[in-house]
Amino acid sequence: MQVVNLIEVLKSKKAIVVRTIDEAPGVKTFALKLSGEYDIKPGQFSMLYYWGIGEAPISLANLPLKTGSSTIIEHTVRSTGVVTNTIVENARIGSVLGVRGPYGKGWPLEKHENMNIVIVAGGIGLAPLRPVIKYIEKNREKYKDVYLLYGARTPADMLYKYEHESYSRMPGVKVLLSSDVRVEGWSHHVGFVTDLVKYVDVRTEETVAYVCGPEVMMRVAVKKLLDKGFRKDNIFLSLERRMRCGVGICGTCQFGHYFVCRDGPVFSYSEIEDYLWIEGV
Amino acid sequence: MINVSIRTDLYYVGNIYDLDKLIRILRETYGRRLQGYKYYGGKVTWGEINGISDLPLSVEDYVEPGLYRLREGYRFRHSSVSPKLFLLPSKQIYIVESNDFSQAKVLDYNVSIQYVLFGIKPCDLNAINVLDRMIGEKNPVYAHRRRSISAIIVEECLEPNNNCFCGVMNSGPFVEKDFDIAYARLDDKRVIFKYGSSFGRDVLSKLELRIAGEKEVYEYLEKTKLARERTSAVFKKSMKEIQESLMNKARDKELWLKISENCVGCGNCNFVCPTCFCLEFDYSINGEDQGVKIANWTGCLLYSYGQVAGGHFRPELYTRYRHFILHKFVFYPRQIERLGCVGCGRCITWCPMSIDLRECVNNAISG
Amino acid sequence: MIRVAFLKLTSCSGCLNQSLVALLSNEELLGKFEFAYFTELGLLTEDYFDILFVEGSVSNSKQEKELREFRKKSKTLVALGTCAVQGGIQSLRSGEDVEEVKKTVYPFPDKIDIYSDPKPISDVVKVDFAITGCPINGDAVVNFLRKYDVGGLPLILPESVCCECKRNGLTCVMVAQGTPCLGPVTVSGCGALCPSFQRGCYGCYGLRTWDLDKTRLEKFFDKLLKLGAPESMIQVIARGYGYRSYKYVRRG
Repeated sequence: MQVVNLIEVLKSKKAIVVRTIDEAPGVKTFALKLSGEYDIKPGQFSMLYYWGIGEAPISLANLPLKTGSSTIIEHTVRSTGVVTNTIVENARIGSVLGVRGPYGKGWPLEKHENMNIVIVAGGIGLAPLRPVIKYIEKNREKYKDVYLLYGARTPADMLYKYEHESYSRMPGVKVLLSSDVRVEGWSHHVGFVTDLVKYVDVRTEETVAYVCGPEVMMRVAVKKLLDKGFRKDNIFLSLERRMRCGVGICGTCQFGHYFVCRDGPVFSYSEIEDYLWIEGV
Repeated sequence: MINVSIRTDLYYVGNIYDLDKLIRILRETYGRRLQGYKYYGGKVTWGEINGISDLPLSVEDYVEPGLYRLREGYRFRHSSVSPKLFLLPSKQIYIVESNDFSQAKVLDYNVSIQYVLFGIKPCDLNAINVLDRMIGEKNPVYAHRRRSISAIIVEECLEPNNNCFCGVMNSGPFVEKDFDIAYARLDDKRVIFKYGSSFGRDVLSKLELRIAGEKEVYEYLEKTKLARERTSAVFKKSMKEIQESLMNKARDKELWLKISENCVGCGNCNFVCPTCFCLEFDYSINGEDQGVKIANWTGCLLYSYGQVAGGHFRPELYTRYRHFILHKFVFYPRQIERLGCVGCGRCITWCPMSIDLRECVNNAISG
Repeated sequence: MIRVAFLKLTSCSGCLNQSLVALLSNEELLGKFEFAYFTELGLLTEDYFDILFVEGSVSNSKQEKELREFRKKSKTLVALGTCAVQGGIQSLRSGEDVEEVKKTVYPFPDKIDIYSDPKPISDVVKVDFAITGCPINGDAVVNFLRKYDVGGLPLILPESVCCECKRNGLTCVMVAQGTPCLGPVTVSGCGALCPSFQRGCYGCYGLRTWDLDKTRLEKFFDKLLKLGAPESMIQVIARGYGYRSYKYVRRG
């Protein structure tokens, strides 16, 4: 019996902020440099620690970039609570943050080779899906048609605006955007991102959908995808819950009988069908 | 459940002073330290057992939903504490880090002392099994503490109290496995012993007890059977039906609002539950400018459970009360293949609003 | 250096004393913070403050004006204690004839210039952080300062006193002794002080609001009355310490 090493489990690694990008009001992307390896799967998350203040589970927003003996990872943080406010307000180039992870199961991209992929993202929900796009970009030949449906409350709230064009330039990738509210100069769809599902033109039996956004939006997306003929086990959702430890010991991220940190955050709809429609389960 | 053919050679009979002898042998001959229910200052708490005077031998707990009184007697069942207090302490300092993360130190939970859990109850033993499966090796504090336990000595309950329902949860009031020695008090003087491991047999042999007579064994088995029956007639349906029914009714908001109408969300049930394991992380800076990560007990009945920056996953109390019941009866079996409730009745006893879990489950499955 | 001020309105100075004791027992903080305004210590520099702690409730227009002026000079304002957060025990006069109340206490009631209801400071100025308690737990101030020093705020965990009571391994005074205790409906933070001396909690940190409602609260109070609690025990939290939160819980 090997007793887990406490330091390995809960010690944060030192990460230095090497770049910050203002994404939207109150949302920033931080590029963090760590020494050594940090092998991630798209869809996984880290616990970001602002020393002395607290930790927050934040999705990895890019594939890791290995440079010599160090790795650069990216996290997009929206300022909503004590910890994220502190990170967004105080972290500058050169600041030190603590990182532990990567935790959770990511998007099962390897299983879905030779399939079409429909990405449905709402607001900050694009962050855990960005590494998916980057992964597809790198391995374009492995996947068929790709749709990115992305919506936010306003165009200004969208993440990675500076990259949207490069996404749509990728062969066989269609990017459809949506703004909840009408804004002058917006030439794309106005309404909810889930409205865009109807424009997806694929054979659903060979297509998987990756969905991330507010829970209400994900429920609507699931309904629309099912209506369109998607199989239950071809719809994947990335859930958010209250996470404290990231390793399945604190129990506060339970969603039905799942520990979101350990069994998720990515679930297939068929796994969570029992629970998704129950309020506060 | 109960052996029909009576094998008297498995049982020994002594009196309460043999418990003192047992404590001494474990401490002196084997060099173990004992942890268990400790009678101190008119209360039964958890602590180190050094001798017979630490044991709650001459008290008995009288309970009703929301009521607990210790009075004179010899049938002590349990108090608000449980072995959880030792295995998964209420405050666990995890890590102390400098602000550049270059130094990290950990409080040493690696216990070199060999502990014996003394006088825990069958429900407690089952609760430890639940925790083993649930957090086992994952939580370092628990893992170290659990490994420091070298033997378990169980006191079986021949007269469970009003709030006990271990029978129906299949976790008492007697034990059949995973223990070293078990004893039960036939009356205020006589104690019947049995062993569950070779270590237990060795220790018992040093007590020089007499082998039980057939009459005593019969008395023991008869009382055990009655105790089991008494703690089994609780629910209106079978466990399988309860589980199906609970899941089918999970979406019935009105029902759960009704069931949880007396709950004030104080969290007492979570804290006294021997299988509740949820932890809250707290971060602070100490006087030496080190960042400290601490885990504290938390529970699903508290408002903070499910609360996140800028939102809440379980803002309504009924959803958290429902989680408490669903988790114990439905989700634990899905997570660890056994029920999460051991039927100790602590949540019923220690609820300041006298909410009876048994009633709530019955209402949920019939309402 | 971070400049700190302590302003006292209508209050007993208990929170100031608690803060002072806590600060003096954590000397390393004294090197990081400059205490600029603290009348009890004779510190009276009034230019600008990074952190302004306010003790006490607002009783009259003079205090209201003073509070507004101090708010303008401060970056972060922390309400210190139940008086500042909810109005405090002096809220017991709420709903009574204020002239009668004055007469029962003071020999020259006409010299007393007070509002009929004391105001929590959030009625007058924007409050950035609240530390509740009567008096507060000095550790909360120390914790606040240490977190502020590194650029953040403490996390607030909405919990009942029972949480601290059970974590400290105490035996419930209500269940095991039949002592009426307001712990289950009271905000935590005191470390379950009263129950650790076999006394029932009397709610000085104020009523929990988050998921209590009128019916649950009434049922709880009924339970206390059945245990023999005097009506005044309920009045103390409902109209005193928890005046504002009580009104909030009963809104439905």
